[in-house]
Amino acid sequence: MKSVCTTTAVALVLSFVWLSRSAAAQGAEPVAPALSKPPRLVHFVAAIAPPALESVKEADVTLVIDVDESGHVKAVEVASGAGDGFDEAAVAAALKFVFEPGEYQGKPVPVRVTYRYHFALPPPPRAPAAPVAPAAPETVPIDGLVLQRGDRAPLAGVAVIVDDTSEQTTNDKGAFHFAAATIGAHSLKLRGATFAPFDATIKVNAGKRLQLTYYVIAKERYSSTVRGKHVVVEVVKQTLRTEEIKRIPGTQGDVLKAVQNLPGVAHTAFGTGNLIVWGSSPQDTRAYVDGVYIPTLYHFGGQRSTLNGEMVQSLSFAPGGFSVEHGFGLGGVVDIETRAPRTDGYHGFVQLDLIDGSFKLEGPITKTLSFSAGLRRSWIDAFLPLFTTGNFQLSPAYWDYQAKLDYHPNSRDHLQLFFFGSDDQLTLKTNTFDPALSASFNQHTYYHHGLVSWLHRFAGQTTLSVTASAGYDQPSQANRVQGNAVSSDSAHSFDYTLKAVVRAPLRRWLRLDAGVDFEGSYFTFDRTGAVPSQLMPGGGPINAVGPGAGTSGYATDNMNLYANHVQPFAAATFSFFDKRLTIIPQLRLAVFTYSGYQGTPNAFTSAFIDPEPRLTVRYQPIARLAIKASAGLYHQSPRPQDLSAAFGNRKLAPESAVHLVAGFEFQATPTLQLELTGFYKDMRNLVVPGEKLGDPILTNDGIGRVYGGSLLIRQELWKNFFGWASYTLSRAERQDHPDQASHLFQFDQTHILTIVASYKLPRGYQVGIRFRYVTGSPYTAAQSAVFDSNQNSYTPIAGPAYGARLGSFNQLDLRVDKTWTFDRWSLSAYLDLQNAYDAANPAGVTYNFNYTKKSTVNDLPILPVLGLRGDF
Amino acid sequence: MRRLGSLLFALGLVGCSKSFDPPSYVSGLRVLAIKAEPPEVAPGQSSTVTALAVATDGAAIAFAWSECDKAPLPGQAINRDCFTTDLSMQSYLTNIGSGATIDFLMPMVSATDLGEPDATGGVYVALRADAATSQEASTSSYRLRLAGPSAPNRNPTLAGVFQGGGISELDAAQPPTVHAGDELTLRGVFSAGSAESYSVAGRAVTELLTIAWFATSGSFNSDVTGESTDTVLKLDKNLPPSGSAIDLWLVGRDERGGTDYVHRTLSFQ
Repeated sequence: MKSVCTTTAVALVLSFVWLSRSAAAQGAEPVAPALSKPPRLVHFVAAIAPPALESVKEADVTLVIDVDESGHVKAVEVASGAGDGFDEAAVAAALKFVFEPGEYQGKPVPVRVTYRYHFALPPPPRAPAAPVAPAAPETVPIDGLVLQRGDRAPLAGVAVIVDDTSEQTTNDKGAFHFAAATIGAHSLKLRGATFAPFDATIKVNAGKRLQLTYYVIAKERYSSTVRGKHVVVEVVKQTLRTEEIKRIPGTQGDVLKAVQNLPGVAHTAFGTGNLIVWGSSPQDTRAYVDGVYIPTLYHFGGQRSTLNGEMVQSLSFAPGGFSVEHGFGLGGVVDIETRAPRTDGYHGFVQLDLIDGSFKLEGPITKTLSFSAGLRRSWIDAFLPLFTTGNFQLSPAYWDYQAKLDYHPNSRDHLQLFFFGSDDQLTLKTNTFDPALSASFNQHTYYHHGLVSWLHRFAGQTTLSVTASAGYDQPSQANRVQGNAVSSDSAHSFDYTLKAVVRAPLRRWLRLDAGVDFEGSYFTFDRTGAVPSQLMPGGGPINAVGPGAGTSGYATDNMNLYANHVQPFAAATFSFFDKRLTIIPQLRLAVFTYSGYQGTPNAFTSAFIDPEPRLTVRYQPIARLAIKASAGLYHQSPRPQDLSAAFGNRKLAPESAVHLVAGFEFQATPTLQLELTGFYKDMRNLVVPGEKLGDPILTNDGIGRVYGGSLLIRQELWKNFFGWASYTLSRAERQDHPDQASHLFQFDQTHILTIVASYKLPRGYQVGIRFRYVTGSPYTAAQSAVFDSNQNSYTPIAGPAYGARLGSFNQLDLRVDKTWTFDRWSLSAYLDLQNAYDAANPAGVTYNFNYTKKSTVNDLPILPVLGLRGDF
Repeated sequence: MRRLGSLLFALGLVGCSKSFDPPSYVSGLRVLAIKAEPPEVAPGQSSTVTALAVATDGAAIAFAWSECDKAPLPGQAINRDCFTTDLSMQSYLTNIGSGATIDFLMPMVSATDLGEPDATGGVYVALRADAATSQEASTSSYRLRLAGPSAPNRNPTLAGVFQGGGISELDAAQPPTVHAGDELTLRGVFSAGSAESYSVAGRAVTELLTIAWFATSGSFNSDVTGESTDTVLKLDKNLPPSGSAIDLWLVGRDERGGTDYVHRTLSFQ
């Protein structure tokens, strides 16, 4: 047994994160998944305790230590001091520490470690031994486990001290062992920086091995955030950790709605969560899960993402100017990385709230193979009929699932098999007393995807990652009946993708990232109904959300389309001046090919080859300041259904955009960042309705322009607090046809201010607030109306396109979480109070029957949402 | 999803907005219907077109009729340029008469000149009616169906208005007496044969007939009913002085431009 005889007791690592800015300076992205190997202190230096220790007996100093790839300490800051000379003593000692470096995917990486240095007086000297020992006392071994209370996660590195004389440290399974303990009562202490000191008395009986299990309440589990998965620098990229996503008020832990709180993302009414990024249309922003595109982002009404947030490890968001590793879109990119299944036993959760319920189970299968699986099902369809009348029936139902196998055969390879899918069904009926006037609407959408990914690490830090996926989607299927008028559409898509990337550090100053990105689909589309309307300049509805189209112009189409897009890319990262200057020229070759209506008179093929040069530059004049800029060209395929011979135009070309981004970021403290970004986007070939009779129904005439800037001040998790304030000032315009005047974009919002803050309180409480202020969206007002005698209705005559604007939006959301932690499981409850002061926020306008009067329709009123969750 | 959100919005499931007077409440200048007899004509044939217009203040109503020769764009019932106030664009419009009733001669056009067919397979010539009093003005449209290969459409005929679930007919000559708070169950009845059968895209369908209800007081629980179905007029608001008459109009329509209307009064005490 090892004795404890120093004046300082070693504290343990609290948490560690990869060094964001220094990693970024070396060409790494600022965020990454969990470390494959945490750093380990291999050389400890005892601090010289100040005289004040005699009076205070013990003291704690929490340090933030930057450890480089070699394991040496580069910098130490005091996160929480004790004063009286303790801080200086702890820093001086920590500067001499040596670590075994942390690793990501087997590669040493710089890591930031939070470390608590514990000062304590030595135990009083032991009484002198008896002069004669009559006989060796009987002993028995002690075995034990130290687990985190609630989820039973093993706690490694915990000091287990018996009688203040013997100490063992728990291993990575939380186990400890004392070979021999004398018969009788002993004191036992558990000491570690991740939990409060724990003292107990144990009784050792003769002839009986003692087995102990302790459940302790840990403070913060190790959290590694997102640094360095990709090598290419993104000029603007924000990352949200799981802890943040779950706690943002007003989002109910939804993974994609959390993105709406980041700079550059516009507000959408009714909490629908559409991502309108830097003035781009919602469909221009693409979301990926583990590198595979998600075809449908939201369930019914946009209130829930189709990907359960409980599967998410981290989320990264690039609003524009992103690298060549991504393409196919003109807006932003959301990268969702799912969490690896836990290997420390079987765990899971069950969650219930007013809208749906979900569960998840995860754990090891073998030493190298682990699994996780989750399912969510709505039950709003069960109780909604209680609130609807017999003449109006609404039955929305959705479910989604995720299942994952994770295989680590050796240190060089990592395989992952992931299945995920989603299903939405909606039935809506309005029954009048005349069956001929009754209407019904049925909609059913789904997707089912599977992916396999393989990461292989070669010698010399070169890596190869390959991700292949296949899926079957029904992106739209609807039947509408209104009296004799029947319309329907049904789209199906078989999707297949492949992405392979090689990352090769060729020289100390040069790294090459190259790969190929392939997306293909076989798409069928059967549709009967009205052709797209050409209501007015701008193509928008007459009111912000209301109906509009006439009902003439019916057509039927049976479309099939092969769309295969192969896009190779390469990026060379040049680093100069001790990596303070990074220049990354990049090229992506955007190849789009289409073959449609095969075997029919409408058969067509088309191909487009569009080079996409991009350039990123980053310069760090000082360690905490980085200046960055990027310019690039982007292309996006028209939606498959837009190539319909009857409802679209087979000759549509890809849309294009130029992104120009510049700004700087300043690291005020290790966890406090300030980022200022300016952006300009020029969009061409946008798909818009034809202008005049004889034009194709859809054309590539649209032009867009967006410019603005955003400011972000963000405090990452620190002392139980995280939060950020973001402000975006922007203007987004569209020009539908070259000979028409430009107008505001439908979601142009001049000012977007978001403040998010969350604080963890004692006793399992956590509170959070979110405040938002957003300029109202533009809309096209009706200036008059014409009575249509045939249909007994009024047809509005539009005023200037998007010439009117809704009133501003302001809202405060509050959230309180409470967690009860038991030995083997935990129970959490939350109250998410949306629109706490019941602001009347305009979301649209509605008119009377002849458009002579109008009224504002308000967004959601005060809305409490309750949730309950059990983890084990 | 956006479509669904709009649908829910339109249904009032989310959000709040103030309510307006229903379309059935007639106040000021209103054109309630335009009827063509016959409602489907071939090129070179004429039709008598009549506007049912009301000015509740008793003002005289002047009409100006025009034909619009600009075909609708896909998705439009009538080209929006037909309603422009921009004089430079009014070359699409041809003056065809004045007064509440005009005779219109179908021009020598072919179906392809008139845009895409509607859900009933028909194409139409667009007529514009500008009605005005000294205080108000309103613009209306009527699409006169071009005769096709099938049997031409005929106007439906409203045979009567019944009260109390079809028990007693409202007599145009002897208006029933009603009081504030009364609820009258009303039903409009079409003559037999009003709902004609026709073919569209190879599918045989029978016309759906509708009745739009209008009144100068009160509100209907349904502003539009189907054939031989009831609505309830509740005399709860916009009531006239005692001893006045409440005007009641029914406008019957088929899907192809066929129209008929009747007028009744109620004696309010």
